[in-house]
Amino acid sequence: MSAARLEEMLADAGLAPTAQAELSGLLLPLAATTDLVPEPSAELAALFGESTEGGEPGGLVPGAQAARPWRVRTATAGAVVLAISSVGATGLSAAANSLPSAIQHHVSQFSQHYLPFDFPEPPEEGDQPLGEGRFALVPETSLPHGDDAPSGGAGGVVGVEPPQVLVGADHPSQADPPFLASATDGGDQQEVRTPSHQGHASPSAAPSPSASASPSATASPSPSAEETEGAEEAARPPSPTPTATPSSSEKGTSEGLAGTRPGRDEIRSPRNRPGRPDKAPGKDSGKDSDSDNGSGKDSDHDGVPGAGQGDGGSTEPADPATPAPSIVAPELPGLGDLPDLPLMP
Amino acid sequence: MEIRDDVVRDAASGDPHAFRQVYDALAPKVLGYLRARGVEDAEGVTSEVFLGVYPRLGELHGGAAGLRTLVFSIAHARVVDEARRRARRPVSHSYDPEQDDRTSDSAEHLAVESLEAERALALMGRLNDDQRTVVSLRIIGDLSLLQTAEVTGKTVPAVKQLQRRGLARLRELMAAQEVAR
Repeated sequence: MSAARLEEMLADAGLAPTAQAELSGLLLPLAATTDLVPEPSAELAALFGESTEGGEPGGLVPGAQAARPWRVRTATAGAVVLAISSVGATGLSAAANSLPSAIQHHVSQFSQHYLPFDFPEPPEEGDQPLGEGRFALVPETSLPHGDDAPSGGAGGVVGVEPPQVLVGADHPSQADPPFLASATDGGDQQEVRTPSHQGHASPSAAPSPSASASPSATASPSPSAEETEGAEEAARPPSPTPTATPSSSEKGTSEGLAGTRPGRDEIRSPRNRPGRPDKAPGKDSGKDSDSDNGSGKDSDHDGVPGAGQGDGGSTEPADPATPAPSIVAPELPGLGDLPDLPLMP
Repeated sequence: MEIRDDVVRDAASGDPHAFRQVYDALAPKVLGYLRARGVEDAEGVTSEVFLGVYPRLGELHGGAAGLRTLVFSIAHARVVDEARRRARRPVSHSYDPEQDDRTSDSAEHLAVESLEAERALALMGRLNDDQRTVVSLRIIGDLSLLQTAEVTGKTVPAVKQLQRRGLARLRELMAAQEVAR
């Protein structure tokens, strides 16, 4: 500090001249002590470039230059994180096959060519599953009808015009039909009910054609049953057998009975298995007469518990080596009015 | 030593030689200010002040005057930090008669060393903190009233008032010291 400036400062303080002189004498040496340059520290000397060859400064740089690499690093790290996140999200979406079709296709192709694993291909246009939803309506023309039915033996008996069919659906009336073919308690009145023939069943309304096509349907009563009935068979009117089934009830036909229609075998339910209809004749015959044990045995062949519960229900298994004779029609009261129905071969 | 504005620009652009010139011009004043404020390791803190100045040269405005204000602002902040640190953790030293400013200097001491400056510092040490800061910045830092106000965060009239009271107090202390002799 110069003496003039110090005097000016002392004058501003409002001190007496003598006091100003004394203070000036005190403070001027203090200002003079600031002529010595302190030795810089090692770090500061490096900053001055004194400790490095070539005059390059040390590790420190001015703020603007020092901030630049930091920003570059931050931007680089952000870009890397963004790229990794994008690739990861795309991979997850591709694995879930939820990308748009075009992108999914490209990703799938890329994975097939360059990656050790494959992403799924996108579903093609119009590749809608047939069973979309609960029901799928099968065109009528795609189903076999009437006599063309390959498996419906009964289809040849009466021409049944199948209506539209619900395929592949869990329709309650089809999937779980109350397939009951049982005799009434009185024994003199037989009521055979099929899934959709309930209420208007007649003795001629028999089990479904699928049942007639089954081996057990063709299998017949045991030889003992045939022996016991021998002579009576000729006198009796032909009775409905499992193979000689369905009466072509127009009402049932119009209701779209699956049991009277080929193709029904495709949606077999546990109660609609081939051997299952045998149970009905077995029961019927069991109730009606002892001579119908064979039918009950057939039911046992199916392994269905409770089959053949009639009076004549035999627990003896049928001899598999024995050729299956034709089914003996049970003696049912009131069946004499029925027309003759052909038996299944 | 005065600092030219072009030197300040070169120092701000990263020229180490220009920054060295800045250091040579301002470091003695900073060191005197730190000593006047009673900083223990004044030389070390001086280096820390310039290490703190260098990264901020890029945002400097005002040329040489602005640089001087910046340097003393950082130095003042360091002084405040050290005062707070000392307040939290008082440092105990063994008694050293030479450091006891309550005693009058011996004739030998006065004769051996040029102790006018020491005497002034001893007297300034008896001022209150604001007065000492303003007087130190004005006399040792060679700052104007405006620069002093910027460094201390006070208004110019406040700085003026502190300066006047501080000088008056120094005069009283000098008179009391004369009487004690």
